[in-house]
Amino acid sequence: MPAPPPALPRARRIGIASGHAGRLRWPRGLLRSAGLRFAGLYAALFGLSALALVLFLWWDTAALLDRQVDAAIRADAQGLNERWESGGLPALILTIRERLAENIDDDAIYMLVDNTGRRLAGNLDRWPPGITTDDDWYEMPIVRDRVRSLARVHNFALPGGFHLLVGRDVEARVKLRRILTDAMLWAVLVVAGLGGLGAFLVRSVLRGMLADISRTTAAIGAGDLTRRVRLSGRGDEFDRLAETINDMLERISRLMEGVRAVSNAIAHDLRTPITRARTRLEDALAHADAAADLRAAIERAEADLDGIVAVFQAILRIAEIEAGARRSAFSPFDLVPVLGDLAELYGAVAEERGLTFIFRSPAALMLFGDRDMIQQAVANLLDNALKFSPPQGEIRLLAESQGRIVRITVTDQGPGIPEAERARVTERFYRGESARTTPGSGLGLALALAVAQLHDGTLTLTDNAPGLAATLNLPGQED
Amino acid sequence: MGSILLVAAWLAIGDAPADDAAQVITDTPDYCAQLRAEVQEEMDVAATAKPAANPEARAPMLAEVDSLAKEGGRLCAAGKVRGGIIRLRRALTLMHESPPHGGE
Amino acid sequence: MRILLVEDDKDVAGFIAKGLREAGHVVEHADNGRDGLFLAASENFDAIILDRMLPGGVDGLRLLETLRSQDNHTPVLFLSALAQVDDRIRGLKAGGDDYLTKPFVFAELLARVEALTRRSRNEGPQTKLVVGDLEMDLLARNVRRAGQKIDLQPREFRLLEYMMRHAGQVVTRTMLLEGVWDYHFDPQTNVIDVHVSRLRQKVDKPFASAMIHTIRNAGYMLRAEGA
Ligand SMILES: Nc1ncnc2c1ncn2[C@@H]1O[C@H](COP(=O)(O)OP(=O)(O)OP(=O)(O)O)[C@@H](O)[C@H]1O
Ligand SMILES: [Mg+2]
Repeated sequence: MPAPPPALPRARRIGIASGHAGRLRWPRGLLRSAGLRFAGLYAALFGLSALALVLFLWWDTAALLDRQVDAAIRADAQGLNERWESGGLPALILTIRERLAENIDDDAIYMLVDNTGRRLAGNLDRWPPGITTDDDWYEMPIVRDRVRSLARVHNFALPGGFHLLVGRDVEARVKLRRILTDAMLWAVLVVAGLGGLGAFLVRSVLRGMLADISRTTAAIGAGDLTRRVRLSGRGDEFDRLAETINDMLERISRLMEGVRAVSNAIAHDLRTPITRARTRLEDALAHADAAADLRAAIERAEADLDGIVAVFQAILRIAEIEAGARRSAFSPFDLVPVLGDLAELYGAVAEERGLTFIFRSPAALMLFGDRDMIQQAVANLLDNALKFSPPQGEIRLLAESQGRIVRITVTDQGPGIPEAERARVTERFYRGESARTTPGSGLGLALALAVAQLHDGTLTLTDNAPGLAATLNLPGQED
Repeated sequence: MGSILLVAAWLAIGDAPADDAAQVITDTPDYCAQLRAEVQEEMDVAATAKPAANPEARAPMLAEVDSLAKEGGRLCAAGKVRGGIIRLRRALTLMHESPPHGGE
Repeated sequence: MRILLVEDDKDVAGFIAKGLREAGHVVEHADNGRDGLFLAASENFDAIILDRMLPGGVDGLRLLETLRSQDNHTPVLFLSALAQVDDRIRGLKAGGDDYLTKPFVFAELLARVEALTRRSRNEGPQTKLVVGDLEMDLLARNVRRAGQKIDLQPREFRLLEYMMRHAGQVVTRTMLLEGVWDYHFDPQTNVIDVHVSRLRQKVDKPFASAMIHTIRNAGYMLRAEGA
């Protein structure tokens, strides 16, 4: 390893460099651009790797050169030593002079002094300052023809107080250092240039890709919930982000839809029963004479209010399900006993009315979901089947699994639902023509659908010829 | 960026001038003249010496030494001292490599 | 029975208190959580009717948690406008014994409060239930009336068991749905009536007198003749 260069000049140079760094600080606004930050990061990484390469080259080459120089110096010194031993001082002086005369490489450095420091031979004008320790390696500056250079020397102590310096001009290493320094500075320039260019490129690319997202979200923020982020179709990170955002928007608009439906329901659909209750009370107040009539009117109003509360609760229940809040209560369970209980509960009613009730299911059907919700959805389907069944009709509750899908089907032999109406009957409060005379509020199928969707399933209505077949298709639980 | 500048500065440190550095005295016109004289002297000795074993082989060498020495002298005179000295040194080396009493 | 009513709405509280007194109970009323907690902790009650949202810094949940942490196990019925499934679960987790949402039918409230106190009274495991000449062996799972064996389906057995445990009290249809079927919703179809009438066919029909009575606007009651 080369010895560290003198301390004083180094300190001065560092002072200059840090002054430059201070002036290079970027304005704050630019630092806020993510694109610029990325590019800056890359430029810094690039610069660091260039620096690492240069440093590696430097240490490696410098060390090689040093080893070669050291070997040459040692061989040289060995020869001189032999001369000294065989011919004494005069032979040594002569040899040094000869070697200098024949030094074609023009890099040899010799200096022979006696114990008073007087030069006896060699090509230095004086004993270099700082060289004090015997038998040690030194690196020192020298001046050659008014040009500064660097020398690597060894200080040998000879008997009789003589000292001999044998060394080489290692200008090659200085040159190497200069080349590397230049390369480094150029690299800094190039990195800065490319980094700057890259920064603006990355920034404009990022801007372009994020522009649509920010346009869309701004539009949403302004109230236009129908807007969606466009997909580039490349399937990259931005597409994934766009998909996530679109999913989120989809969900938000579904929730908004739910809220709107609930408020619409309160505004319109609850108005009718409330009006009815109010009219009855007012009528009773104005016309009922006997206490018994009044009592009857109050009781009817009470029943009306109970009906309103029931509808209200059903609406809120559906909204709660649609909001997906119940997903946290999901757990694996066996569907078969749940359906068995329902079959027993409703089978008795069917029998009572002279209907045939058939329940069929495999031994076990594992589901992952909300047991209570599924129970209620199936109960609603059974309610409908009972309600719309003709006398002597047959009702079936069937469960089966097909692949990963679990199907729960309720069939009856009633009027069924005409094709055109099927899409609408799952809407809140929608009641078919055939249902005008039956009690109900048109929320049963809406809830069943909400439950199916909560479980990532579907509700399908098909013709049972005659009658209706309502099927809940739910994803089953893998073992 | 700042760290790169720091390191660049460190690499350039070797160039800082040091006023008390030792001077190399074999780069001077004096030394050039000294070498030139030495070459001339040896060439004279070679010319007056008794004929060698094979004078034919030495003749082209002497001619090259002569031309190198002349060129070296010219360079030194033109102020290109180090270039001149290198040529003179080569001339001397050439002469010493093929001794007058060729022992091959 | 001594019942503590913690409810901030004056009309609702007055109505409940009046109804409970008419049914023969003693009612203490607090209209905020702090007073309610003080009363509940310092006096002895057979049951507490507790609103969830209360003024005064201590809401129903906090009140109950504090009470339970003091090792007070008075049965508590939550009465709340918070009707979501999670609210109900939270109320029961905090130590509530039952949860009734507003608006409510008074008969339902009364039946549930009375059921609560009954439940707390006979704690230990029973092996035999007896109401008049009706006997139920819970271990052998058989039922006799006047010494005569009655064959029951498993569900009918549980329905009768529930009614016998609450003999002399009104049990509502929702109580039966929750207690016997573990269902927490109201089916439109009168499923409970059908099952009770089936039970009647077996328990009452072959005998001289009926034990299962329909209580108008409320539910059913099982009681021994003359009781
Ligand atoms: N099994 C069926 N047979 C014939 N029509 C049906 C059947 N099930 C549903 N429908 C039609 O679909 C409509 C919506 O059914 P839904 O269960 O949502 O409401 P509802 O039964 O009328 O009232 P609710 O269930 O709230 O008491 C019904 O009014 C009826 O017209
Ligand atoms: Mg329905």
